[in-house]
This record gives sequence, C-alpha cells and structure tokens, in this order.
Amino acid sequence: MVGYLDSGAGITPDELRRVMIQYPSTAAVKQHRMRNGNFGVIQVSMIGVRSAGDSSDVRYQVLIDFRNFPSSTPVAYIRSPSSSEIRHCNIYRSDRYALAPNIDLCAICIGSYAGSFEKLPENREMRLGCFLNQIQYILSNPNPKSKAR
Amino acid sequence: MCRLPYANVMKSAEMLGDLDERIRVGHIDVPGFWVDVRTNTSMTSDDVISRSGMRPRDGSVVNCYLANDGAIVTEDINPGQTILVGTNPPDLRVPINMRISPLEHSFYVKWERRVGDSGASVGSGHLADGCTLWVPCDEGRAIGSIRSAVELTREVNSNGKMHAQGYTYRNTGNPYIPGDLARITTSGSESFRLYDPETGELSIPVKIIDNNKSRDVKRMSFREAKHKEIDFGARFLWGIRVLSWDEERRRVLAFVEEDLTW
Repeated sequence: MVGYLDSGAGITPDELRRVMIQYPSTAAVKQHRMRNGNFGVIQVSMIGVRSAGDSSDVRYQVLIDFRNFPSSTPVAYIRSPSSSEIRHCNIYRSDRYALAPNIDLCAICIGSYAGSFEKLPENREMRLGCFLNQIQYILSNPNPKSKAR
Repeated sequence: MCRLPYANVMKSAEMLGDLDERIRVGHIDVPGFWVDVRTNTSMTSDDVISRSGMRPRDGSVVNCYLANDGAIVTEDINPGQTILVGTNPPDLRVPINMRISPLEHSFYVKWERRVGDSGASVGSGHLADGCTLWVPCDEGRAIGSIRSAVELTREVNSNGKMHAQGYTYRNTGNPYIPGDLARITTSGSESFRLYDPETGELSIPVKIIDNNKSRDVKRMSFREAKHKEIDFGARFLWGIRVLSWDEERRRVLAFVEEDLTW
C-alpha cells in the first residue's frame, strides 16, 4: 500500500501519525489537504538553540511544505518566533511565500542538503525521517559558515 | 501496512518463545505500531519510553499506560507486559479491540479451526510482531498458504499476547469475488465497508441482502441479522460472504454468515 509513489505526493495520514510519535504537537494545515487525501503542509514544534553562541533552548514552530514529497526536497519555514526575535544564523529573514501569503515566514537554510535528499533511497519513511532529522539538526547546531542572515 | 516476506513471517513465529523477555510498546496515536524492548529485568516507564524510541523531541510529556485497561503505569514495567505510550490516556470509550485501523499484511495461514457446520473456518497465523491474525475462510482452502489480509481490530490479553481480527482480500484483479468471506463493522464511521487495497482504506460499501432466498438458514439478511442481535446480543464484527462485486461502482452485495458472527 505505501509504495514510494503509490501513496502520492504529500504526507499520508499514517505518516503524519508516525511523525507525532517524536513530535506529538504536530498538526496538519487543513487548507493544504491534497486531492489524494494526503497533507501538503504540516506544522511541527521543534526545540533548537537560540544562536551559535547561545545554546539556550528556543521552541521553533516549523511549517514544512511536503506538497512535492517524496520526489522533491520539502521546504521548511519558521513561523515563530518572529524574524526580529530570531538569532539563529541559518534562518533567513522573513518574507511572504505562496504557501501562506498572509503570514511572515522565515525559510530555513538547508545548505546543500537537497542534493543529499535526492540521493536517498526511494523510501518514503526514510526520506521523511531524514528530512525531519536534518531540520532538527540545523536548529540545534547553527553553522556560522553558512549564514542566511 | 507492510508486506512481509515469508522468511520474516517464519522468523517472527520462531521468536514467540521469547515473549517473556520483552516489553511490547505501542503508541496511543499510532494504531498498529509496536516496538519490542528486549529485557529480562523490570524497567521504569522513563527507560521504556527512551528505549522504545518514543521520547518526544518537542518537549511534550508522555506517559506509559497499560494496554489492556488504560491505567497509567506508576511502578516498574515487567518483561511480558504490553504498554501504550502517549501524551494522553487511551480513550477507554473505544476499547483497543474495537479500534479500526486497517493494516495490510501478507501472512502465512498456519492453523485453521472449523466454525459451526456450514463449511466455514477461521484461519490464523503469526504476524511479524508476534500478533496472531484471525481471518474467516472456507474449510481447507487457506491453510498452508500465504494470503494478503487486512487487520481490523487488535486485542491485547492480560498476559501481553495480541490477537487481531481481519480478513483476506485478493491482490490481483478484483479484491473480492463472489463466495469470498470477509468481515464488516456494524458501527462507527467505517461501518459496512470493506478494505480497498487501491485506497488503503475501508472504502468499499457493502450492502447486506434484504431478502434471504437461500434455503441455507445460516445465511442471513440484514433484517435477520438484526433480529439475531436482539436475541443473542449485538456483534461489533459481522462475518459476511460476498454475493457479487460491482466493478463499476466498486461495491459489494453480501449476506451475513451466522457461524462467523455468533
């Protein structure tokens, strides 16, 4: 049932429930429910650090665009804290995106990870898990050599 | 969800002897997801949550609950116990054996038990996680074969052993043909629907015949089944036999098999 492309683009309800094991606060964005029944966009709460020089915890609300998953790399944005409060060097300053045109979002810089993602085995579960791990890693380990702000 | 090679099925069966050297951990929000924590000593809830990989990374607080009654675990957890992890207690209004979470399996039908005198049987075999899946079948037709099946409900005994109820479907061509045996639930949002391998959901409507023209008294119409419920008690799952498959509308006409229901 859950072949690589058989389940279609987006996150299946079953995959969403799996994400909720490690991120129980995860919620799907209802407006982005796809025609195939999958979820196009989800919101995940992740704990990262404030900045490269300040390891105090910050709770980031992350919007992740899975509309082209699993064939393309998902795109992650910070919804909160606001851009002016963010000190993490790998998070871009706020902008408006088609995903949610009325909300200021700050894209997360994933560096060259898109290339790595595309080389991952064609396995939905693995790709989903790896991408979430990568976002979690970025938020927990700022990389001053690849500044986005 | 998973299609298991035969070797894995057999391996899981061999592992059943180790039931008492593991703690089985499920998740309240993810039906059908089970992790075995191997241990020969008792463990704290905190250790079980960590070792099962179910510790949240977003700061949410989770607890352990007993799978059979939903009580929160306050003491150490012993090998052989089955628990559920979650942020909230399991919803006791819906017992664990009445939670519908259609899961696909490919399993080896190892045993068969005759039911009643209508030629119907119940076949069973182990799933990869050690659970025993029970499916209705015609006597002698399923035993010794590998079948695609969907799991509907799962029950955890007080001794930690799991038993699931489901039915088989066909992987090639139409998922059901006249004469196939299956099960439907009689309440809830997915009642009176069969599993569709194309959608992965209980989405094939089932109409139970209005009039029973058969001389076989074990074959029941909807009205007869409802009358039987009044006399012998309601059944959450009805055993049915497919009478016809409407390929165009993807729906099924069926009657209730008394022997597989009461």
